[in-house]
Amino acid sequence: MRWLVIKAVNLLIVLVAVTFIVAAMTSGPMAQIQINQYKQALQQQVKNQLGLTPQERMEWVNERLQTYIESQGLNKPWYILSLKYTIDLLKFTDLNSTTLTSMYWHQGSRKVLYIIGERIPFSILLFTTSSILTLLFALPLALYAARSPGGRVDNTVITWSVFGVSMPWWWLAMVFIYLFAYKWHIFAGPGAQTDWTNIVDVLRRMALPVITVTILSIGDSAFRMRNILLDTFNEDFVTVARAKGVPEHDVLMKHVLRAAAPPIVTIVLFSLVLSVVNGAIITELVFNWFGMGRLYWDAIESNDVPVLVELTYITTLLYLLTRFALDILYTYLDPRVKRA
Amino acid sequence: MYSTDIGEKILEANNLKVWFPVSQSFIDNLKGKAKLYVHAVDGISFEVHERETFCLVGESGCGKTTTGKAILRLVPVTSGSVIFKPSKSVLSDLRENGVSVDSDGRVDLVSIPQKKFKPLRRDLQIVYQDPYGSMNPRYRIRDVVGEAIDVHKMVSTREEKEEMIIRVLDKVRLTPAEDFIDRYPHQLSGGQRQRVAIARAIILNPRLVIADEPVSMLDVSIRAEILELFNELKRDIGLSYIFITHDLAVARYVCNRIAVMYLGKIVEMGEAREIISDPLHPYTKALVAAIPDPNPENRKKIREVPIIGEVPSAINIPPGCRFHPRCVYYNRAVGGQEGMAKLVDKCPKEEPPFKEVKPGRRVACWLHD
Amino acid sequence: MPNLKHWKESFSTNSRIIWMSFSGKTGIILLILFLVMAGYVVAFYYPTITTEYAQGVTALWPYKYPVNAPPCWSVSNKFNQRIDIRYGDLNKTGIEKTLITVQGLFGPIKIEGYKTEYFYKFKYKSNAFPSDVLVSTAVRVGENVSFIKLYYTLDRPDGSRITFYDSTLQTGKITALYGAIERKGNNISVLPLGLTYISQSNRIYSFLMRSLQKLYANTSIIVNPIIDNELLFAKVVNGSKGETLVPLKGDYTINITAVFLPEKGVSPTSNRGSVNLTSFEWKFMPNCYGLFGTDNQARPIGLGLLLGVPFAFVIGFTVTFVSTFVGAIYGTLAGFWKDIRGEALMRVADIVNSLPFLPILIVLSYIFRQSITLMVLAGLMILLFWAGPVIVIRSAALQISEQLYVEAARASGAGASRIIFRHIFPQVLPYTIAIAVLSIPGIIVTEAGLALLGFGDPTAPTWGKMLQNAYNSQAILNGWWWTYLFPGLALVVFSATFLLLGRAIEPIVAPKLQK
Ligand SMILES: Nc1ncnc2c1ncn2[C@@H]1O[C@H](COP(=O)(O)OP(=O)(O)OP(=O)(O)O)[C@@H](O)[C@H]1O
Ligand code: SF4
Ligand SMILES: [Mg+2]
Repeated sequence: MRWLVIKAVNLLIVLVAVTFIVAAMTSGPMAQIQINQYKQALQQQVKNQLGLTPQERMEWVNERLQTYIESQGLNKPWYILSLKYTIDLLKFTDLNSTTLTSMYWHQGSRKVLYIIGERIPFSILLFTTSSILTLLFALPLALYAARSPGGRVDNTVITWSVFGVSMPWWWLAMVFIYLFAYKWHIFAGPGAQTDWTNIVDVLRRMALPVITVTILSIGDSAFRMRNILLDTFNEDFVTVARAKGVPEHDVLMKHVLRAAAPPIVTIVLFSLVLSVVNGAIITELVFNWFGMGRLYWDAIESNDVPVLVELTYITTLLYLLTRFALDILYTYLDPRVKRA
Repeated sequence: MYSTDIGEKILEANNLKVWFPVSQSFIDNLKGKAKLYVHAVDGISFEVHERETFCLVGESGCGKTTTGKAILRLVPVTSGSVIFKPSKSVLSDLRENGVSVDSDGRVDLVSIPQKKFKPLRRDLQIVYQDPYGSMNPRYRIRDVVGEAIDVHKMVSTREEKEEMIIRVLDKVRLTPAEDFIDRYPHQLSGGQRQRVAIARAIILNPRLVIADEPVSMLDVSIRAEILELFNELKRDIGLSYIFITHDLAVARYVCNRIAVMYLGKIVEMGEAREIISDPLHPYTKALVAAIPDPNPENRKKIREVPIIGEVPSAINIPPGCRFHPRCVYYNRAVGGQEGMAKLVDKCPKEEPPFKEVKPGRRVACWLHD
Repeated sequence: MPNLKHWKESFSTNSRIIWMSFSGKTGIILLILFLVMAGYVVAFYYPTITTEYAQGVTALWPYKYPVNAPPCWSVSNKFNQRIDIRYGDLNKTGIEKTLITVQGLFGPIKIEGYKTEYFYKFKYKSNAFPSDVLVSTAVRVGENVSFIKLYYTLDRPDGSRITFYDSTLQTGKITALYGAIERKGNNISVLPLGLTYISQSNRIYSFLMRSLQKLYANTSIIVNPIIDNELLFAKVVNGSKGETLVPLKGDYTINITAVFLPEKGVSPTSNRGSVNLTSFEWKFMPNCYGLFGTDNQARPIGLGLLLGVPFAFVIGFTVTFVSTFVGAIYGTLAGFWKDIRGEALMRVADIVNSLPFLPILIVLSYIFRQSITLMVLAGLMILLFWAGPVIVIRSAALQISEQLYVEAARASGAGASRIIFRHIFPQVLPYTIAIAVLSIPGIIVTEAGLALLGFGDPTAPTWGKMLQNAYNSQAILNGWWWTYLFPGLALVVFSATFLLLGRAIEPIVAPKLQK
């Protein structure tokens, strides 16, 4: 119990710290950028104001700039802004976006939660599908590989994992888009008009991202699962079971898989959560896929600090909660883990 | 190995206790449950004289190593005191550091803050049981042995240091020293490593060396050599030892005096020869009986004084005499053997006093009250 | 205490073990290859060519290399003819008398003037089109010329004529009909420019457009608004796919004729009274280039791949080694202090590890984008990545700090710093090296990702920047696959090298690291 409370407190500390750090890093400079952009826009506008002396022009610009700065709260120092964001989030008060708006369901709303709520389904759709596919392919591969280390399947898994780790997702995305969308016209490309209510359309559109992510994830996942399984195969209880004449199939299902389950679950869940929350900014950009990663980019490009901060808050919370849940799961699934 | 030239008292432990807190659950703490401790060392007193080999004997887990480490302040001491008489140079360093020294030039090792303890390490050294684990595998012998020289800045030049190392290697019979000085620990045999460990301990001319089962991990064939080395060094440079062992056969060979420990307490203490030839405490009797003896007649003893059950945990020390759950005499008394009735009452309730039964012999047992 | 001998010994045995495994062997061979390339680049191309490559100095690359040319092995129909017509190759007639028709007060009148003519005849033999034709043409008209008209034409084998210019010129100066004017002091040179994508404001655009539209008037070929050099040398054939263009082989003639009238009393051969062609070049660029092709700024991809090697090393090594070193010391301290200090250190590391690193990196790069250099990027990454190895290192340090020899050192009187830096840290170091090598791929990929988003050092031609250039020039849509395929592959092979090496090192230095 004690470790649980400690972990929960840690979670909170990390969450607050991460949120505050991101808010602190972004609010100051981003505010400056926003002010400069608005000032430039005003300086363009003032050219249309005929009959003003240069002096009056400057006043015209400064007046409006000042109102803008005050209305947006940009005159407050960064630490006040950051603190305000953090406290608001801890009180579950939704922030208001400065520039981004929601596109589909709450059209035009500036509530950050609505904006995020619109994007999350895209991320979940993409990454859950590819996680399931990855597991379906990786686990059998890993099993085969671990049963005969150094065999053909094992070498395939090892090579695949090398590419899976050293290849940027977004690069394979570029290659696949060219081949499958523009050259062979099999799947829809990033620029395709998609009717999100039409299942065939959606499938055609998500095929490429899913294939790309899955192919690259399989290598790494299978390799790690193989290592876990290999360790399990070498454990005493497996040797004993085999010596007792337990059929190989039962050894695999009853002993090996059960013992190897917790770490494998961890790998799958972690990579899922990590990619849903922030792993795929550039990939989503290349695929023009409106998920959470893309939202990060949109927020950065439009200097939308509240979106950035709340997004960080929610993604970090998700990540930490997963870690927390896995910790608990681990302790109950695996009696060997000490609750220290 | 009784030698008559035993000198003045250099170390005196008084009611020394080392308790390790047991990590407990949060809920238990909330419920206000008493904090639990491992009573590794539970109030022991003894003294060590100059040029004496004082032995701590007992089963595994009875707190021998912890006692040694407590003296060296390598584990936190819970209570008690250890009065030590350092050498002159150490004493002046201590005085410089502002450590309180009594009129006889003695200090209490327990009350010195860690930061000011450093000079004392020149006087107090340790030889570990494990000759493999106690040396950094990346250190050459010269680094292992010379580390203390660097730490205490004993010499200023490389040549002097080299000379010191070679001299001490000669002393522990690693000859020719030049042949060993640049080797790595893994290039030595167990016996040679233990010689290196001894060299490391004595290089700064300590007063007291704690030898923690220094031969138990060695081949039987080389044990005698190493034990002989210990004796020799005592003779040549006037060392004192606290010699820890669980093997009375070894103790018989090196010790002047023996203290028998059981579950963190000393149950019997006295001259080595007397203890082995005439053990008084039931536990000592059992230990002595277990010494393999070439004489078949003596083997009966084993059946005479058996020992019952397993060592209880050091967390829940049995009340009264901590040995009573395993004591044959107590069990006989409970079984109704005559003349022992008082044990039935006393043993499980009252802790027996550590009484001097004859000069230089102390026992903690109601049998000898 | 420097155990050089020990290190040397263990290095030689360990490198033998690494060499024995397949991944180790591949990794070492690739590493050596990359090191040689990096050395070559640093010795011969740094910094002028690397900077020129990174910044894409416009006029320079297209003159030497074709634009957007695919690799030659992928092109079956190559333009394999060398046509490069220089000024000196032109045939020139002397100044001849001719009758000029000018608009007089009462209708056209003929007066006696002069004519000078340049021409060149070449044979077009290839079955393919060139990727582009680089053209420079400049004419000087003397200040005392009162009348000038210039005809610039290309006569095709089928008898048709394409007009580049048919108009008057300003007197008293050099006019570049086509090409980029470059002034160096008093010297004016005209660098050739590609005919494809002529801007509409160009002098020859409207003439060219008119004659091309006339040429293809009765076909389905659409000429407007982008001019492709293919149209100059093509004929229409009716194939299965409808009307397509194929090269029109045969004799072509370029002709530049100036008809002019000097002012009274000025000699038509004098500098002030004559018209002269001052620069001229027609250079047919091949439709493929080398093994790797070229990009949209005519930079050879292969050269870019080579130039990127040292930068990949610099960024990968700086970031990984600095951050793992910092992380290792930090983790060692966290493992050594078993009290509240160690806890606090772990908390901080946990926070840094929980930061969403890519968004933060993007934000930081965005903030620093004006002054971004490779070292700034490296610094930013170090700032975020140092905590990565802390957990592994701490547990290793924890294990080591509980070793008996550490206690033995304490018993000898060794203080905390000696124990940390003489006993624990050297033992942790092998783990650190394995972690560092294994994290290089991540760093390289991250740098490339940032470059793709536009946060790259403008003077460093990294593979990421090549990818960015490809991505931004719509290479995927345009089918210029070689512009992103090869830099990506270079990235993958480079990363894989270190992954393979790391995996070969891992079991030696840290058998338990894999878990
Ligand atoms: N650092 C520690 N933390 C908690 N408990 C400890 C610690 N060190 C020793 N103990 C416990 O204290 C008791 C005495 O240990 P110690 O090592 O002193 O026994 P020992 O007599 O030296 O045994 P052995 O003959 O096996 O070396 C044991 O129960 C041990 O588990
Ligand atoms: S006091 Fe009693 S129980 Fe303890 S040793 Fe003596 S006889 Fe046995
Ligand atoms: Mg011990």
